[in-house]
Amino acid sequence: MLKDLTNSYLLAKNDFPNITFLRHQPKEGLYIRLRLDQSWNEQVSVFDSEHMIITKEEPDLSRKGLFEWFQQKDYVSSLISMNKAVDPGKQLHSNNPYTLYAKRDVFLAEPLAAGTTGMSTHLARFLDKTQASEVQKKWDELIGAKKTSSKKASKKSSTETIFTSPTQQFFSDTDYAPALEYLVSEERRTHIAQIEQWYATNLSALIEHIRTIPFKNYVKIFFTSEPTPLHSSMDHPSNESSSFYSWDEMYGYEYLLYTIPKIFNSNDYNQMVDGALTGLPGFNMSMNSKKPYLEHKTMRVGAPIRLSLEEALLVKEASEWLLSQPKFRMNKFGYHTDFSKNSEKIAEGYFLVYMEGKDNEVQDFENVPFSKKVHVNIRLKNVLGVMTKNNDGEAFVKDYGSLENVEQLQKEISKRFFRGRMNGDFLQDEPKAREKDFTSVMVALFMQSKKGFYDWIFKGTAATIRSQFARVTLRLIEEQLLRVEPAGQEKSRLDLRGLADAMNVRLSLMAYLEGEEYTAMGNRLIAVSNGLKDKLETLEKRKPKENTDPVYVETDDEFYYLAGQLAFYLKSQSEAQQKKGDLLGTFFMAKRSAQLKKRIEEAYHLHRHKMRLHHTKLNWALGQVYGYQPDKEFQHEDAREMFLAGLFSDNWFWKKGEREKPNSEGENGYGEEN
Amino acid sequence: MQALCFELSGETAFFKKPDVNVYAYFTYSHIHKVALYGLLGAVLGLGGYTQQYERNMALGGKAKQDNPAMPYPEFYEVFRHASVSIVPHGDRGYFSKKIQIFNNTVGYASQEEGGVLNVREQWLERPRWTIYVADDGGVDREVFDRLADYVQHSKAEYIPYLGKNDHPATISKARLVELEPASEPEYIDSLRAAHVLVDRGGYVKDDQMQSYLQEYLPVGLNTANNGYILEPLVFSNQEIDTDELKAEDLQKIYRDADNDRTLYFI
Repeated sequence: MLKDLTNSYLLAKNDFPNITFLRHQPKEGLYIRLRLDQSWNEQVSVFDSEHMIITKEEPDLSRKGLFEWFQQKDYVSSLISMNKAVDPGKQLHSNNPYTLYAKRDVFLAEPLAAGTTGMSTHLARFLDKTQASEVQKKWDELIGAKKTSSKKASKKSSTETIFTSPTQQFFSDTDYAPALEYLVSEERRTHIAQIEQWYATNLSALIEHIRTIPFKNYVKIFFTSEPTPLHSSMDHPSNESSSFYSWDEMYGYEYLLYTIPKIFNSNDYNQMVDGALTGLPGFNMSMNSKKPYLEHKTMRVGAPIRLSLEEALLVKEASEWLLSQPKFRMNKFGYHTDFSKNSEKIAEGYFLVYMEGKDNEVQDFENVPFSKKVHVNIRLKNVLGVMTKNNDGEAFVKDYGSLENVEQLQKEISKRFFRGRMNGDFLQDEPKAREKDFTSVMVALFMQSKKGFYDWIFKGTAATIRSQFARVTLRLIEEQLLRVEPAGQEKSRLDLRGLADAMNVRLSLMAYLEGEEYTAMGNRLIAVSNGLKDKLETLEKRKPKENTDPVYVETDDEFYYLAGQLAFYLKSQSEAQQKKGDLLGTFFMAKRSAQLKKRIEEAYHLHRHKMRLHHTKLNWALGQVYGYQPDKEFQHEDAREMFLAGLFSDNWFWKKGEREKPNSEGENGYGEEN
Repeated sequence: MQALCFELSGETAFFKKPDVNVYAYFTYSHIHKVALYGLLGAVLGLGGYTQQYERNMALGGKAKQDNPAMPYPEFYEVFRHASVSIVPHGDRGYFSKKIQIFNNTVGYASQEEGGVLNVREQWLERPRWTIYVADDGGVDREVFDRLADYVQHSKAEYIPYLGKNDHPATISKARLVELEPASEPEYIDSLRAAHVLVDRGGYVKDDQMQSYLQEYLPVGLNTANNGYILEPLVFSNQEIDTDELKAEDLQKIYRDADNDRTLYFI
C-alpha cells in the first residue's frame, strides 16, 4: 500500500518539486521573522512587515510572499510528532536552533523570579539539545554506533576530522554527508552562540511586545540575517561576508539533521540490508509492547516491514501529502492522473483511501482497477403492469423512465428501499433505527448490503451486490409494507403504490444485474399474471349454466399470486380508520401454505358482509386457493415474492361501481375505471 | 512446456500487506508468489516459518548463532525458482473486499486492560484464480512430480489455506496441460510484470469495461531478514503493446490453447 502510494506520489514530486511544503498548512499562531544580526530595538520598527498572524482562513494575498516564506520554513522546522520533540521538556516544539515554537501560554508566562522567566529555562534546555554533539548522538543511535570521538570531532570545524566517527564514515557517500559536514561547522556553532546571546539580551523585550498582540495558539520565531530572505543568498549576498551557507541551505540541513535520525518509528528495528540501512517506517505503523503480536513472532523478519532511509523519507512526504487531503471521506486517487501534470490517456486504476482526521489513521484503502467515472444506464420496466392516470383521468401503464447515471441510481435505491438513508458517501454510515420509519431490521439490511451498493455505485462493479440484491431488497419491501408508515401515504385506504413502484424498480435492477431483459422471476410474474387474467376472463365470458371445462389454478406461482390478490382485496374492505400495511401482517405470519389459507379464510369471514354473493371471480379465486395444494411452502422466498407481486398488482376483484371508500379511483387506486 | 494447472478458490482470503498496522490490516488484491509457494509447500508438507524459527532460535527466543542455519523457510527454499502464472477471475480480475472486525481474547495477545486485542482485517470475498506451475526445471523433477500427484489426487500433508488458516483453500480441476510459446500475444490473461505495457489504442477484451490493476506484490523473500521483495505487477483486459515486448518477456508468455488463455509466468 505505502509502496503503491509513494510510487504515485513520486510522479507528483517530479512535476511539482515544491509540493511538499506547498501542501503544508502552518498551524494557527503568530509567525515572526527576526534578524539575528540586529537587536530587538533595532528591528522593532519593521516588526509589522516581519510578522504575520496565521489563522485557519486563507492568508492575505498581499502578503503571499511572506506567507510562503513562513510556510516553507515552518515545514522544515516542524516536529515529526510530539514524541519526537527535540526539547526533552516538550515545551518548545521546533526542531532546530534557528526557530522557536512555543504555545502562547508558555511563551507569555509570567516571570518566575527576578530576572528569570520560564522561557529562558526552556530555551537553555532546548538549545543545549541542538548542539552538534547531541545531534550527533541521535545519528549514532540510528546506525547503532557506539559513542566515539564524535564529540571531539564536532568541536573542530575542519573537514578533515569530519569522517572520524563511524556515523560520518557511514554516511560519507550519501546525500546526507553535506548536512553532517554542516553540523560540525564553525558557522553553525557561531550561530547558536549568537542566538543564545540574542535571547539573553532581547527576549524579555520581545515577550513584552508580543503580549500586546491578540492571536491564538503558537508563537513561532524564525531567525535569519538576510535582508531579503525570500531570495537566495547568491542574488543578495548576505551581509555577513564570511557566511559559507545560505539561510535556506541551513534550514534545509537542519531539517535533515533532525528528521533523518527520527525518521524510523523506532531505531530498535534498524538493520543493514545489502549495505543499506533499513528500519521500521513511522506512518500508520506502530510497535506497542502491550500488543506483542504487532511484531511477527515466528518469522525471521520480526518487524513487519523495513524501508531504507530514502524510502522512509518519501513515505513521510507522501503521507503528509495524503494527510493534506480531505478527511472523513473516500478519496479517489488515479495511479497517474491525480499526481502528474501529464495526464495522458492511459489505462489506470485508482486508490481509494479513507483517512480518519483525528489520529490520521488510514481506515480504508483499496486498489481499484476500474475507471474513476462510473457509467450506468438502466431502463426501469413496469414488470407488474402497474397502471396510473394522467390529469384527465385517463389510465395508462406507468412509465418509470431510465436511470442514466449513478447519482440517479443511488437516489432511486435510497428512496425505494432505504427511506432516503443512503446518501452521499455512505460506506461509513450507521443509520439509527426509528420506529415506523426505519426499523432495526432495515438498519441491519443497510449494514449488510452497504458495501455491495457502494461497490456498484462508486466503483462500477456489481460483483458484490449481485448475490445479495434480490434477498435484501425483498426483505426491505416486506419490512416497509408491515412496519413503516410512509409520509404522504393515504391512510384512509390501503395504499401500496409506493411499494409496487419499489417492486418494479427491484425487478428492473435485478434484471440489469443479471444482464438480461427480465429476470427469471420477472418472466414468471408476467406469465402468471397473464395466465390468471386469461382464466378470469374465460370465467367472466362464460354464460351461466354453460357446461364447459372447469378452470383451475395449476402452479404454485399462480396459487401464491392469487392469494396475494385475495389478501389485498379482502383487507381493503376493512373499516379501520387508518388502513396501513400492518393490516396484512397476519398473512406474513404464516409459514406454511395451510396457514396462509387459514388467514385468508379468516379475512373472508371478517369482511364477508361486504361481499356480493355472485362475485364470480372472487368466488372462483377463493375456491381455487382452498383447493390447491402447493409443493412450496409460504416461507420460501419465491412464494413470498409471488404473494407480494399479487398484493402490489392491480386488483382484479373490484367490480364496476364498487369503490374503495372514500377514494373515487378504481382498483387499488390506480387501476382501470370500473 | 508442460504445466500443472488448477483452480484455486475460497469463500474468503487474506494476504496481509505488512506496511500498516495501526487501524486495520489490508490485503493484497491477489494471491502473490510467496503465499502461493507457501500453499504448495503445505500440500507437500514442507516446513514453514515456524519450523525455520525453531531451527534458528533457541528456547527463549535467542538466536542460536549470528548466521541463521536456515536463511529461508523450507517451502521457499524448494520453490523459489518456480515459475507460476496467476489468472484472476472475479469481475474483470477484481474481488470485493470487506473489513472484518473480530477480537483476539486469548489473553496474551494484548497486555492492555481486559486483555482483548481488536483485529480489523480486510478480506477478499469469494476469490478464484487459475494457477499454473510451470514444469520448466524451476523446481526439481521429483518435487514437481510429487506436487502434480498430490494436487491431482486431492492429497495434502497440511490443509492449504489462502493467506491465513481462517480461509481454507479449495483446489479443484487439477490437470497437467501442454502450453505453447505464444508468438504474437494480444491480451494477457494473468498477472504480468508492469513493464509489459498496454497498447494505448488497443481494444479491451470481449467488449468488457476496461480494467487495469497495478500493484506492488511480493515476488520473493530477501536474505537479510526474509522481508518481502516487491515488484509492480499488472492485470488488465486491454490489449498489450506487442512492439514493446522484450525478448525475455516473450520467453515468459505461453498459450493455453485448451482454455484460450495467454499466460505470463512470473
